[in-house]
Amino acid sequence: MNKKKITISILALSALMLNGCSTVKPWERDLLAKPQMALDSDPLKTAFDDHIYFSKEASSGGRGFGGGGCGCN
Amino acid sequence: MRILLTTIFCSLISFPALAEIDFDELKGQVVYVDFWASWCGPCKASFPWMNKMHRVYHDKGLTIIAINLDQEPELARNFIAEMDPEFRIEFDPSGKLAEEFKVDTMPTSFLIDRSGKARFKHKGFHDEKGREYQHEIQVLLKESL
Amino acid sequence: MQLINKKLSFSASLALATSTLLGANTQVNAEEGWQADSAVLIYNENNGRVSAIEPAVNLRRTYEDESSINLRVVYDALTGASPNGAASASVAQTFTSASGSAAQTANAQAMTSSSGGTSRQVTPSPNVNTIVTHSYDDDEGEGHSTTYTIAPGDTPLDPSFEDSRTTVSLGWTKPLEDNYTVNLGGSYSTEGDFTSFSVNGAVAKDFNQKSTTLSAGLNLEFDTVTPNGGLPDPLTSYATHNTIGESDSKNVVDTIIGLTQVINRRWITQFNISLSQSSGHHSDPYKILTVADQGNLITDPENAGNYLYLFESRPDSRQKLSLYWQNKFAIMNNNVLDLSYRYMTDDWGVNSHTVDATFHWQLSDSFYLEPHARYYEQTAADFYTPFLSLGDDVVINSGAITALVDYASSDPRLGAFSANTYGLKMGFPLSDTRELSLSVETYQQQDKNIRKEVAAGSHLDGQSQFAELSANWVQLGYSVRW
Repeated sequence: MNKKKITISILALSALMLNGCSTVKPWERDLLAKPQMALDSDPLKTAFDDHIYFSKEASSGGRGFGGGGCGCN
Repeated sequence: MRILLTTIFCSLISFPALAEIDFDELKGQVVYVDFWASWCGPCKASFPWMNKMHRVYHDKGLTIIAINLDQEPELARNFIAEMDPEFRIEFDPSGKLAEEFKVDTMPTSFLIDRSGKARFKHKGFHDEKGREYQHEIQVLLKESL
Repeated sequence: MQLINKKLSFSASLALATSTLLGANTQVNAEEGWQADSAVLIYNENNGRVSAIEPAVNLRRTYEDESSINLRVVYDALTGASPNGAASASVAQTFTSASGSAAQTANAQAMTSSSGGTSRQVTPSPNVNTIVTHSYDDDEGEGHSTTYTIAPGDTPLDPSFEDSRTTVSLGWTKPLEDNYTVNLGGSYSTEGDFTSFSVNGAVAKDFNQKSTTLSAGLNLEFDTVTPNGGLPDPLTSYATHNTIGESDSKNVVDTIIGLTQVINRRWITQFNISLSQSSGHHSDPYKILTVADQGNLITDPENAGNYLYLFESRPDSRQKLSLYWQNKFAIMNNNVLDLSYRYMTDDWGVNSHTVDATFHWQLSDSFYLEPHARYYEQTAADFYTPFLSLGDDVVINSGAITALVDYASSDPRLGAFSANTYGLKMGFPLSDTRELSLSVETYQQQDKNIRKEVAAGSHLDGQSQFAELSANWVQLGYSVRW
């Protein structure tokens, strides 16, 4: 993959995301609040899968944390 | 009969009539307006507290209006059945009232004094702030019109 | 104490420590109370390779101030056979793993004979054509050597693979003022020849009424490897088994920055950049490479009667960069499409792409299905080779073996391949607070390596140069909240 293309894509994506306006109202997070919409909805399964892939392949991790959900309080 | 009516009601898969709150009519009361939803954890924690406030201060002039913002009527219904609120519930699924009140977090509540002026805004709900909120209610109740 | 060839164990701990701990502390609308998640993984590779059973328990306590503590314990028991790195050939090959006693030098020959105590035959495992002889060398009362013979045409697998490992992780999350959240955690893992200790910390801040979250995390890991038989001298004779010490270490620094954005009511996206710097010992002490002359196995000049294999060698440092992008789309009220892509590149020459898709299909309040598909592909490491060629990679002058390359490994993990995973998870929410789940998955690799040419009719002619892995696993899970 072309490194220049990657950089441009990342910057474009970041610009899109950091666009200051919050287009989602706090009360519109009903679907995001559901457990199936969590970024990691089954941490133990993710841990098992990551362990298997790490043992058999040369790549690992990448996943992040934080954000999403109901955004309450 | 009650089951039949409930079934008919539920099968309509819709919310009761959209909230139209006449705040003029409420002048003279201390009004606690709370915006909540079934999927909001802190909202669940706030209901027992609001029930308590209702029991203690309703006779003294406190009116609690809890405005629901759920998009799925059944979820709101289940929540109400489980939490058994003794105070007034209204429905605002389109978020029109929430928009007017500039709700910026879930839950958000406003304490309106007897003259109709909004005096306190609570962003979110924390159990440990319950006492502080209760004090605010007492202060407003003591004020005359 | 039986010698164990620990292919999986060597760096498997890293996965648990980094990839999971940072994630273990994330919580969505955590309510005050307890949550216990338990699960067991039953893993099986085809062709008589590795089998594992892995129970895990996760306990979380959330407090009124929304802070929480998380404890996770995972136990791993592995058995089976694992590739030792030698190439499959048209002749039988015999291997003897190092004994558990002190470093061997010119007396290597003694290892292959049954000195001292009794020897016993072990019945061959069903899919592996090996005859395993255990000879007990009780000079120091510790361990014994294992000799096994691989039939012509078979991938050399060391059948004495057996291991157990325990990992304990602890984490703490606390929301702070001004929409900050902080995570701190640590993890400890131990098994026969490998211990790993890690600490991690992370900070996240919410913006735009919590529709944007910026996060940054750091993970530090300290590993110590103490191989059975000592640390082999890289790129020297397997049969001679010179060692350069008892143990060695490796330190890893992982950093991650991430951006999570709620795009609209139905779409959340996350983008992360991770950098990993690993320094220290990376070579697998149990892996070897065949040395071939135009494709024919040659005699070890230091050990007549044995073919020549050299211990592998990997660089002392490894830098990895990963870009990860995940999207979740809410479809109707209760279904979700999860799509993610990861790109990884490192300074060993490995580049990889991972595409993962899962669909959450909520059929009713008490039943859901999650079909899952994953596609993975990676390029080979620069120093990956299925075997070493005499003349190009290794030279022998008057019986002295000299490697012309600095690094070499035939570990399939570093080869070029693609892999497909297909799976299905079934979820049974039993109530608002309890859920049972069952997941089955199947994994198949496809060789994508460039074939290393050998002379027609030689031992390696027509032989497989890459053992494509196929595996299946089942996960059973149970969660309860109170």
